[in-house]
Amino acid sequence: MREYQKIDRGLDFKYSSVYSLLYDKYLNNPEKEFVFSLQKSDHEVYTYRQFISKVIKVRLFLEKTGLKKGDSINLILPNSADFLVLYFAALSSGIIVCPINYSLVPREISYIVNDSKSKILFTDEEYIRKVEDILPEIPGIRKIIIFSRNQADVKYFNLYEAIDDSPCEIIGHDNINLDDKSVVIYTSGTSGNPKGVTLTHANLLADAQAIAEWFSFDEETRTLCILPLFHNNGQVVTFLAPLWAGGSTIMIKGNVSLIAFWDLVEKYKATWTSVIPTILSVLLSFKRKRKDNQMKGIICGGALLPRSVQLQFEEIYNVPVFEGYGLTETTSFSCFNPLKVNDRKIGSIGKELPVNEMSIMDDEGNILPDNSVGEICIRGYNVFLEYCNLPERDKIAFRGGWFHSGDFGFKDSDGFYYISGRKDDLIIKGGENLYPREIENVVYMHPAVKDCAAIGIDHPIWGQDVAIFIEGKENMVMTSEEIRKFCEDKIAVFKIPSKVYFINELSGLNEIPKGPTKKILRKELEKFYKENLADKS
Amino acid sequence: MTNKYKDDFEIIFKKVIGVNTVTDDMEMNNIAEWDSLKQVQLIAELEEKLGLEFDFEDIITMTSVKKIDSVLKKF
Repeated sequence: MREYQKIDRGLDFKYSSVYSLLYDKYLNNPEKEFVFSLQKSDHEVYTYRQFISKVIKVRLFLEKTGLKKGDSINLILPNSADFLVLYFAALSSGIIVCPINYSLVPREISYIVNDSKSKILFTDEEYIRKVEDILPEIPGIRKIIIFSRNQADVKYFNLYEAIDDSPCEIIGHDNINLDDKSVVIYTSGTSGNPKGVTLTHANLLADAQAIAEWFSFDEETRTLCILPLFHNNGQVVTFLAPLWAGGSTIMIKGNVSLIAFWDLVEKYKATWTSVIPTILSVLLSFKRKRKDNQMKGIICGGALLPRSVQLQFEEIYNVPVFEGYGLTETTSFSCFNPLKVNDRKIGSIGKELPVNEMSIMDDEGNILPDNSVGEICIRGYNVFLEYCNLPERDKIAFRGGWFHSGDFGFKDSDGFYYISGRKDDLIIKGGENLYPREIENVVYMHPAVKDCAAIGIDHPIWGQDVAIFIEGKENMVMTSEEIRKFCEDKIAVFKIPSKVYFINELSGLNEIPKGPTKKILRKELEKFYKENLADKS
Repeated sequence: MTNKYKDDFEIIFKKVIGVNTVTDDMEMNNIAEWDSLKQVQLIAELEEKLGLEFDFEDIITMTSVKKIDSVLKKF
């Protein structure tokens, strides 16, 4: 383990790999229901025995393809048992899993496929068209494999053909160490390209254990996984943490309407779920009643949770919301409010988990006293190994033996942390991180655009949305609709600016404000937006 | 689309999703504007304006114009 992955209070790792955790839980209770996978209006249920049997079969298949320990694969798949079976099969062979956000456009997908140096790409019938669009651009991929329930589809190898329901020998051993790489998750990067966050088996195990113990998960715990598995929150909080406790999980596809949320909770007897603040706002926006009586709590993170949303949600639905904080770089969460409801501090992101330490630092790396605002820094067993192919970025992120989060905040005298803002220009829209550069880089490509600057603006549901200010070239005209259309095949839909402002149509702004080094002064643009445009939008 | 709510559906769909036309081949996966938030708004608006309450088993299938049509035919 590296310096920034260790803390003074040790952690007694019970397992040496993520697969050994699954194997142990299988031995404990093989016939217990483990995964409910919602398929359209029906669902599949897997016991621990059925699930691990499929994992073994896919693992044998992966080894036959020639993949070796340390190789990477990409997954472009919705939340499903298929995703999870493949995930464990790969991890049990030492293969690194790199899931990709299926909402990305082909151009963005090809960047991640190439950067992750993956050898096989797994997808399904729904997303295969996106992959076919980029085949010439991803030469490192030597095989495309799909999950298809349609037996007539013979263009690609169908993984279902390698999995049947016949009994198989369930192998307990693997050749994996705690420090081996497990997963690479891509997150938005300041430069405009996403950066791959490399996690180890130790990272996943430590964070899963910490979350399961913090919330007293047990064998009766059943989580509703509505956040996508291509992000760490879905993987760790609602899958690996209940697995740690020998519980179960319900997998829901991302585009299933949230209107069905309380019905799903009731039908499948979910006791916990994990959400982003946007989901709580959406649930509050329509008047469906809570129907269950077993939901114990809702874990919330990914963006700042407005105090009003939390209080209103708890009053209407009578279920406690536990706000926490973490990043992809800390596997998922690194702090939470306490499980004892009255010990929570509404508006705080909570206290550090036992598997990591947090501190507030100034620019020189000095730890600041309580109630002083500085950068939130973290070290511990859930802190990631490294960025993929970005050694210079690692040096900046890990200076002084701590991971520097880029978020500003402070700690009170009771050990509760609070967020004050971002050090950089990150926009968080509905839990997705966006950097202005990646949006600007695309808008710049429009032939009529001379200059542009994107900022985050407040949005009642998404938390933030994207606005862009554009200076046009002389004698060239364009409309906001043209700009948005231009972006459609170049960046994912959620990144396309919802507001487009042309400088020549605005009074009080003659050009995009810039500093002496030509750096965009986004704070000035944000101020201009708030004072002149926010009320009119 | 052939259900009895066809006209009302088209008005609601155009308004919520923000498109000018409605065709049977439209799906959440191929219409950029049709995101998960608009999906929630669409279902909520259909229930309110048409005076219907959908079963959740139906709601989770309503991700294309064709599938919405088949659900609306039940009423």
